[in-house]
Amino acid sequence: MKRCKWLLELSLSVFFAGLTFVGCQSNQPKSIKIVHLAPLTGSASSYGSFGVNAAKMAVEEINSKGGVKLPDGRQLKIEYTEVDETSNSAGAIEGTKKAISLDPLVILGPNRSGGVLAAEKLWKDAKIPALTDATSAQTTRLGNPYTFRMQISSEYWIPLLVKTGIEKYNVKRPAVIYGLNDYSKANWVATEPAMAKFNLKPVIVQTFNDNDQDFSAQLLAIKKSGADSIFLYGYTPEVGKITRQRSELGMKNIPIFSERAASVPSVFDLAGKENYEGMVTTTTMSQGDPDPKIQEFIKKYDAKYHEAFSASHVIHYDSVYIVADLVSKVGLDREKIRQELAKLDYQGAMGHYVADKEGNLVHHMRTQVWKDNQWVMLMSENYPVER
Amino acid sequence: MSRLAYLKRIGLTGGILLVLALIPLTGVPAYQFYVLERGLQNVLVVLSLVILLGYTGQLSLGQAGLVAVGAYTYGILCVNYGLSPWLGLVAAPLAAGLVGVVVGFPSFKLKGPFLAVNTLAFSEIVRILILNNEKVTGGPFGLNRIPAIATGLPLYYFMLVVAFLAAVATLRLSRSHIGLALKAIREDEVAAEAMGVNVRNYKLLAFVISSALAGVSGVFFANMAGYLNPDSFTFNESSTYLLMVVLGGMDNVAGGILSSLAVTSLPEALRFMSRSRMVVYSLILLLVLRYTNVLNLAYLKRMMRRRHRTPCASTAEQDQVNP
Amino acid sequence: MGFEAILQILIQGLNMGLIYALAALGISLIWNATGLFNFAQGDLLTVGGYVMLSTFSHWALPYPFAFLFTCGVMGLAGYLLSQGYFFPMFSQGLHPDIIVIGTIALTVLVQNGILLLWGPQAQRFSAPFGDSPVHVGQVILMPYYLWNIAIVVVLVGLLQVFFKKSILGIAMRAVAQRPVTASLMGVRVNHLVALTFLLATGLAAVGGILIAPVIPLIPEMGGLVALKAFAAVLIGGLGSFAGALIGGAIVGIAEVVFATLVVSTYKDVFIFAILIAFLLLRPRGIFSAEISEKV
Repeated sequence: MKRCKWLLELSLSVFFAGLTFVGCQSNQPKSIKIVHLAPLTGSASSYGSFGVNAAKMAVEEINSKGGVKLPDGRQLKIEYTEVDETSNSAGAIEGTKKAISLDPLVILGPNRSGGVLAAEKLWKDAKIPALTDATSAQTTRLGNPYTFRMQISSEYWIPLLVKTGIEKYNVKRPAVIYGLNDYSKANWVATEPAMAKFNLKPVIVQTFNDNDQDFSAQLLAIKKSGADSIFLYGYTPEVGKITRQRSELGMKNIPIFSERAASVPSVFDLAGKENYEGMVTTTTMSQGDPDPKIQEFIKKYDAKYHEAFSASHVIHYDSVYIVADLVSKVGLDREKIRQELAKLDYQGAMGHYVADKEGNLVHHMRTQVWKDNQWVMLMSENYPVER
Repeated sequence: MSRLAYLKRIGLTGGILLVLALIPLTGVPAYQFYVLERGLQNVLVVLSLVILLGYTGQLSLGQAGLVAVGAYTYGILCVNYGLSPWLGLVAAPLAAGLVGVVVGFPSFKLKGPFLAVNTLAFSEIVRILILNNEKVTGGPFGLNRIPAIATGLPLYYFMLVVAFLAAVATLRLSRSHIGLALKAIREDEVAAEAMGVNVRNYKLLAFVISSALAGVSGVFFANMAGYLNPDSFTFNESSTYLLMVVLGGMDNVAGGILSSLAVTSLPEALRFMSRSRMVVYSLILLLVLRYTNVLNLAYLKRMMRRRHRTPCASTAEQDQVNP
Repeated sequence: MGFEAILQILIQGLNMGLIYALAALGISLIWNATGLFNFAQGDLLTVGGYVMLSTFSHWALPYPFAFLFTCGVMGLAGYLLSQGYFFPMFSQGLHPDIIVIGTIALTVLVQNGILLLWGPQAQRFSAPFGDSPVHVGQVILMPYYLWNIAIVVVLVGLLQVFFKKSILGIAMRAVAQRPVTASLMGVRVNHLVALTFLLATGLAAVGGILIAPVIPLIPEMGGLVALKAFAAVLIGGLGSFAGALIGGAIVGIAEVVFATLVVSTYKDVFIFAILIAFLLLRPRGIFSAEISEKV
C-alpha cells in the first residue's frame, strides 16, 4: 500500500513537471512579441488591469490596421501576453523568468520598485529592454542600460505635489504619513528635501504597515499636531481607509495630497464620496486635461471597457505605440530597439516622451484635484531632460 | 528501521535526486529549470519539517521565518560586511539555529495549535523586524546584488549534493537513538519522559536542527534570486511548507522530496488556467489531504490516535498544555 | 493626555477588538466541540463580508434581509464543510495535526476563491446607520460602533442561553465533554459537530458583515484578522466565550494604545510578544476553558 502512495506521488511529480513544459516554445509565425508584467493580484492589483486594458487597446488598434510595417517590407502583428507579477518581488522574479522564456522583443513592467530591483538583473542578462513602471528614483540608477522608466520618479513628482500644496492651498503645516513599502517610502524620501526647498518642514511624520487596518493612533497624533494638510503615501486599501478615517476622527476639512496610487477608482469607493472630495494627486495624465488627444483616449477607453480608470496607470497604451514605431524604423532587433529607446523623442497620445541619460522616458507631470465628481487639472510641469 | 530498509530508502532518495541531476542535461528550458530549482530549494525546508513534525510531532507554522533568518544572515554578511559567500553559508544555519533555540524554547510546555501559533508569532516578529530595519536589511526595498556561491548549473548541482547529504542525515537520524527519542516524544510525551527521555532537551534539539536546515535553504534562496525581500517569508510560505511535508507522508524523506517538487511546480503547471489556477491548486491540495489515508494505509495506522474510537478527536487531545 | 483623547483611543481599540472577539468566538466554539483549532476562521469571516457585499451592495437587498441571507449561506457552507470534509477526517481517526493542516489548506482555497469570484480590488459597503461621525463632546463616534456592540452582546447572550438552556446546546456541551458517553446517550455526534461548524461559520458571517464597513475587504484580509484573532483567543482562554470577548478587547485596545504611546510600526510585534508571554506563563489564558475538562 505504501507503494501506491509512492507511485501516485511520483506520477504526480512527473505529471506536473511535464505540464510545466507544455506551452513553452511552439512553432509560431514571427510576430512582434510584447510581454506585459502586470500586478494582476496582490496589493497593486487594483490598477493592474488598467495597464493591461490600455496596452491591449493599443495592440488591437495597431493590429486591426494590419500591424506594423518593418523596414524590410514585412507586415507583422503584435503578439501581446500578460504575466501576473503578483505585486511582490518573488513574483516579479518568477514573472520575469517566465516572460524571458517567451522570448519577447520588449517587456512592459514590472510595476513595483521592489519588483524592478529584484528582477532587473534578469532582463539585463537576457538583453531585453524593459519599460518599467516603478517610481522610486533608484530603479534607473543601477547602471542597467536595458531599464527604462515609463513613469515619473518620485524625486520629480513630489516637488510638484508640494508646490501645488503651497501655491494652490497655502499649505503651511503639513503632516506626512506613509506606508512601509518601497513605493511609499521612496515618496517620503523625496518629500523632505522637496519641502525644504520651499522652507517647509513636516510638523509630524507617521508611518503605518501594509495591511494595517486601523490608523487611529497615527491620525489622532496628526490631529493633535494641528497640521493643515496631510501628505499620504500608500497602497489602495490603506489610502482609502485613511482618507475615510480622517473624517471619522473629525479631520474632514484637512486636504490630502497623495501620489498616483490614490487616483485609483477603488480608493474612491473605499473612502466614500464625501471624504474623497478634494483629494489632490500627482499623475502623468489628467482626465481634466482639455487636450483633445487625451480626451479622445478617454472616450475610446470608456467605450471599450466601460469603467473608470486611474490616469497614470494606462501609460502603456503609448508604450505599445512607441514599440510599434521603433519596430517600423529598425525592425526586430532588440539591441537596435534599445538604442532607439535611449534616444527616444516621440509624441504619443498622452504626452511627449523623451529619453534622458538614466532611461526615464516620461517628463510631463501633472497634479489634479477631485472636485464635484471629476478630476480637475491643477498644475502641469515638465522636468528637464538630462541627456 | 532495519539496516536493509535504511539502505533501500537511501537508494530511493538517491535515485530521485539522480533523476533530478540528469534532467538539466536533457536541455530543459530556462524557466522550467528555475521551477525545478525552486522545488529543490524547498526540499531542505521540507526535510527540516520531516524532522520537526514528522519525527518529533511538533507543529511549526514558522519555518518561513527561519528561512528568512538564514537568507538574511547570508545576505547581510556578504553585502554589508563583504564576507565570503562560503562563510555566509556557514554562518546562516548557525544564526538560524540560534533563533531556533528561542522559538523552540516554549515547546517544552506547548503542544498542537498552541505551539503552532507560538511559532507563527515568532516568524511574524522576524519578518516585521526585517521590514523595519532598512539600514541593515534594506527594509521594503530589499537586499540587492547578493554575491553567490555559484550560479546556474553549478549552483543546482551544489544544491543537489547538499540535499542528498541532508536527506541521508535525516534518514540516519531516524535510525539513531536521537531519532528514537524524538519519535517517542511524538507518540507519547509522558511515557517518553517516564522512560528516561529528556523531553525538553530533545524537543529543543529538534528545533535547532530543523532551524539550521531551514537556514541553509535560505542561503540557497538568496543565491538563486540574488535579491531578498521580507514579502517572500510570510505565513503563506510557512503553510505551503507544512502542506508539502504532510502530502509527503509527514516522516517520509523521499515522499517529502517528491511532494516539494510536485507542490512547487503545481501552480506553474496550472498557469494555463490563468484565472482559476490557484483555486484548482488549493482544491487539489485539500483533496489529497482528505484522502491521504486512502493512499497509504501503513501511514494511517501509525497516525491513528490510540483512543480513536470516538467520532471526534478524543478529549485527551484537549489536554494540550503540559503543566 | 486629556480624558477625551484616552476615551477616543479606547473606543477605537474596542471597535477592532470586537471583530477579533467574533473570530475568537468561532475558534473557541469549534475547539470545544471537536478539539480542532480552525486556522481558517479569519478567512471564513472574510467570505461572510464578501457575501454581504454581493447581497447588500451589488444586488441591493435591504440590510436585514441581506444580513440573514448571508448568515444562512455561511451557515450552510459550514454544515457542508463539516459533513463533507472535517467530520469524515475525524471519524477516520486521522492525526489531529493533519486535520489542523486541513484548515490551513482551507485558508489557501478560500483566499484564492475570493480572488476568483470577487476580484483583487479592495471593496467596501456602507455601514447600516450611515458613515458620518457623531460628536459627543470632544469624542467622536461612528454610528456603527454602538450597532456592533449591540449585535455582539445580543449574539453572546443568545449563545449563552442556547448552551445552558436548550436541548441542542446541552447536547453540544455533552459531546464536547464526553463524546463516547454522549453518543451512548443517543446524541447524534456527527450532526452536532455539523451544527457546531454551522454556528461557527454563522458567527464568522456576522463578523464579516460588521467588519466590512470598517476595513477594506481584500482577499487576504482573512489572514491578517486571523493572526490577531489567534492572539485574542489564546490570551483570553481557548474555549471560553468570556475569554474570546476579553481577549479580543485586550488585543484591540493594546494595539492602539501601543501605537499611540510608543510607535505604530511595532504594534504587531507588541501583540505577539504579549501572546508569547501568555503562552509561556499562562497558556490557559485569562479565563481557562470552562467547558472542556482535562482528562
